[in-house]
Amino acid sequence: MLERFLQPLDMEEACVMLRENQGKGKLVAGATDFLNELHQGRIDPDCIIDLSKLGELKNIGREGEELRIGAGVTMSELEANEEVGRHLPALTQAAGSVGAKQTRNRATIGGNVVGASPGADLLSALSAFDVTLILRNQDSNREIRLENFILGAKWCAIANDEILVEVRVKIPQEGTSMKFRKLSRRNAASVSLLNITCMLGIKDKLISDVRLAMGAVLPTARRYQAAEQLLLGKSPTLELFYEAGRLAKEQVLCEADPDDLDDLDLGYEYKLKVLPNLVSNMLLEMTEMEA
Amino acid sequence: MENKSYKRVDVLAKVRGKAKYTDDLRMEDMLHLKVIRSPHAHAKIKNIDVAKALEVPGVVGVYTARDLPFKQSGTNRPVLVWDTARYIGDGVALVAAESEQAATQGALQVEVEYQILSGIFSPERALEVGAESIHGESNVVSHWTIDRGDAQKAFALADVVLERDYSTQAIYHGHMETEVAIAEPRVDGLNIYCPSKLPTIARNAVAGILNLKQNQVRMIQPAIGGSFGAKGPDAIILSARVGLVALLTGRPCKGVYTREESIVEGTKRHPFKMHYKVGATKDGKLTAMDIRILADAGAYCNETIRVTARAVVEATGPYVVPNLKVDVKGVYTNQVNADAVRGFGSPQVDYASEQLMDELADELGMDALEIRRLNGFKEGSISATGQEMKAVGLDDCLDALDETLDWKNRKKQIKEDSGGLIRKGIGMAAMFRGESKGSGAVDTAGVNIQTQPDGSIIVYSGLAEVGQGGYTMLISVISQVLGVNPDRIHISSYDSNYCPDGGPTVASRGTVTSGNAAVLAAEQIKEKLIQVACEKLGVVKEKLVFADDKITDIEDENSSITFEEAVDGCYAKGENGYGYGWWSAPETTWNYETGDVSNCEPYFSYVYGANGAEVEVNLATGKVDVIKFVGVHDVGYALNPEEVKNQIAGGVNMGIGYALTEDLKMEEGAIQNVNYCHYLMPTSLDIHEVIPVIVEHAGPDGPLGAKGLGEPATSIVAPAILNAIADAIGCRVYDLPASLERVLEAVREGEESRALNMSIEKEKVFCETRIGQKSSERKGMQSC
Repeated sequence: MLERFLQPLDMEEACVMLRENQGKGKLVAGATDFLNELHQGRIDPDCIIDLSKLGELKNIGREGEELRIGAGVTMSELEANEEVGRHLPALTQAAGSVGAKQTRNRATIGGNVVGASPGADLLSALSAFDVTLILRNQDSNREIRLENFILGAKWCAIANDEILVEVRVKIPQEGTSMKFRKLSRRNAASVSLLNITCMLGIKDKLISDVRLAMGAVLPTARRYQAAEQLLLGKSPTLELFYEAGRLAKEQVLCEADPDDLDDLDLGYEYKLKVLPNLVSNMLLEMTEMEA
Repeated sequence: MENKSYKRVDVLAKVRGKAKYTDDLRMEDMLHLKVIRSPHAHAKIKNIDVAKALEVPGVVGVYTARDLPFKQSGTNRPVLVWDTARYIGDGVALVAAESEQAATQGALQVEVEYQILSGIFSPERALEVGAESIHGESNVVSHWTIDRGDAQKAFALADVVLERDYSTQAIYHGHMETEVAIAEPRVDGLNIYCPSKLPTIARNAVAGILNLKQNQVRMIQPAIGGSFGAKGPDAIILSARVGLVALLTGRPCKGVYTREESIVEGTKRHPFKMHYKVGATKDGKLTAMDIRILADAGAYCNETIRVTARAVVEATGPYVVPNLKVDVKGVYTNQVNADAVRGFGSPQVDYASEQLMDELADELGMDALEIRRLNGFKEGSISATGQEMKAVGLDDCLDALDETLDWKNRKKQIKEDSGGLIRKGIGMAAMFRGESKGSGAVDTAGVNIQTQPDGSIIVYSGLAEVGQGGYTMLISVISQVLGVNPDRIHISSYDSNYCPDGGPTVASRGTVTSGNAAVLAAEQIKEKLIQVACEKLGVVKEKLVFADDKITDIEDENSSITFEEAVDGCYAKGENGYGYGWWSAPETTWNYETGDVSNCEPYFSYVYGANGAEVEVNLATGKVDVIKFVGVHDVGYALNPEEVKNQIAGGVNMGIGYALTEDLKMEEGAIQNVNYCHYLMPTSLDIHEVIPVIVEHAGPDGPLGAKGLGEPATSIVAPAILNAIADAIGCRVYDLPASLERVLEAVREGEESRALNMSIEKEKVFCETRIGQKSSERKGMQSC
């Protein structure tokens, strides 16, 4: 039964509140996931600590080769930010595809990361980049790589006295193209059946840099390295892209829990059918080749 | 020239947030209601222990069916079940408390002991020998048949015979405002505030259930947040629940469902399983059909009898079928109760008949529009039930669709526009639909118009404004009959103490029934004013014209009196400016005895329509986008053209959901998607270009020739889209909705059959190339 609603005005206070209520303080920012869970009766917190008044979590700025995004930045703010649009257009696209406008006005990048939902749109995009997360507790700051932070579906490496404060993304090289694409049952306000992010650099007609990440397939959004390795250093062709799609599917078959593959609710049957084509089509589009 | 459009009377209050919905109302000392529902699809209730619930702070009482004045009998859904729950969501008990939170906590503490019974989750199973009986007798709710001509012989003689199976899903209305009601006790009865589509029927039903006289229940209709066929039985049941608490406690009580409660308990569209067999000559003339349909009624009867009655009448689509067998059964299951959802049996059969016509056309190498022109109803055609069709507007609709889509050219051109992963296709569908209730039902409405001494007008109508624009329709009709500015007219919202019965807002009947009653009422006032005008102007009544807020001598435009002067003259004589109209629909016939309706006149009038869709299908994912939709509807006479266009567009939106994404998934009777996160209705980004087209083929019975549009607007959207998908990918989806998975499956099937054709084609090309080479050699040309 909810008894306390706390609203710290700075980080210091937030950390103290968190420690004081250790184990019981539920952190919320946009509360878009939280309210859903609450109404479904899946959680029953005693105490809520609302981070939405922490101005220091709202910054976006460039620091050397990094773009630093405050954990409290909303999807709408992310979508509208020019710096993000210039350097990380896939992240802009992903932020713009989340839920409905009302959700995007509240939901934050921090919430999306810590929520660690398998289909989280930002996680799909972020997985394609080099991302470091900054976590803070009352005593110190801690850095952790995104891929080490996300442990499983709705499971991440955050201690219960810690707050995610910043997402640091390494800015890709000039001339790298990138794209985020989401497959869902309708054109807005819909969860991803599959989301895919691709980053591609081409030098001297050869693929010099490639990142391929997908979400909503395996329990965590992740890169598909076998496909990446195949593509790297090669000249882009139709056949190569088809093969990359096939390898991505192989990776899913290897890594998925065999029981999950038969679970109709998870929709693997359909996802595995469309996944190779989505990968190859994305690559074709990015290299402006015709299918 | 297009008719004048009228601004909606309710629009300003709604867009400014001033409209009062039921949930906006607060009363002193008001209790809050929560419902305990069966989690089992079929179970006997052994015991209900309320002790713990009563200990929850704030809980005032827990009530069961034993607290009602009578045990409810019959096969309609009860306010609370007596001893058997028949679906997941059946109401078992009520908790009333000081706050909604306390009521929710209390509901969690009510302990119900169930004895679980085996459930029936498909209509086929319900009909099996030895299947559990859901209501103590046969599981068949209704059974209608048609047997005309000699179908068996006609099939034997047909040049082509096709047989197909179709299925449709249960859908939810998607009304923005969930079910809600407040009951307020009076010394001598109850006031009930409830948004429903059938306020007078609800008043009467609640009075019966609570053992009150009808004049002891005052039903008041606040602003309503949508119906689409909902807020019928659910509104009655909730009104009776809060009414019961109000009577027992002497305090006002409010009940409002969450979205999840609304989806779990509330009525849904009947899922249909349909088998169609059609025979035709090689020229495309239909010779025979054999149609077998099972409709899943869910756990209770409610409107299943009339939904299936409509289905049997309209099963063939708007076509002449000389030899015909139709068999439609409504069947009980332990699934959610089916009732009215905008269309009432039409969208299901239209979905089947319209896909079948397209496949038949393909089979015969005919054009889809032409095969419909060839077989479609004309003036005097004989319908499936042997009725002679009058005021048939089908050809007008087909022509308008043809023109708007540029059908033949576009059908060719769209293939050229198509390429790569995105395939485009175009499809169409046609319809006819019985107007109003039909099948022998009493079908009436009253309207009371009171012109005030200053010439302003108040209208009291029993028509439920559910968002369809019914009030504005009344204003359009009255202002046209009396020749006055619509701003002069105020529509009083529904209150059963003052408003005559208008019947339910169902069956697209509001315009025809209440509109006609409004004409009759306005004519009475006109008569009174004519007498005044005749005396003042010294002319005979035939020479008077009512227009521009004046009554004018047709031969001398300077000889006139204003509407105010006429009204004033009326009151000065000791007369009044009131008119009362009561309209009763022409008689219709039905065979309730044997169920054989081969010779009936089930509806007094029919409406017609033709829809066309252009779609894009993504071959990699099965994703469909309806990029253009043309909705052509014969509305007889557009009383408010802007409203007509919007109603068509709204119907298209709803139909797109039915066609592509909306699907209540049930497992052993449990609905899996109980909120809008998982039940997917189209968003504005899923709706692309929608072109509404008005056809005015005046009907003999409607006010000023108008016909109903609410349900027709959505009835054939899905088959037009499914036909377009088939055109795009060369393979067909037979089960609704055309989900990503089903479309992708069809794409794969299409590819396989194309690959097969391609290998045949290659052979052909090889042969032709050789012949071609020879001819080019002959001409001495070089090939490169």
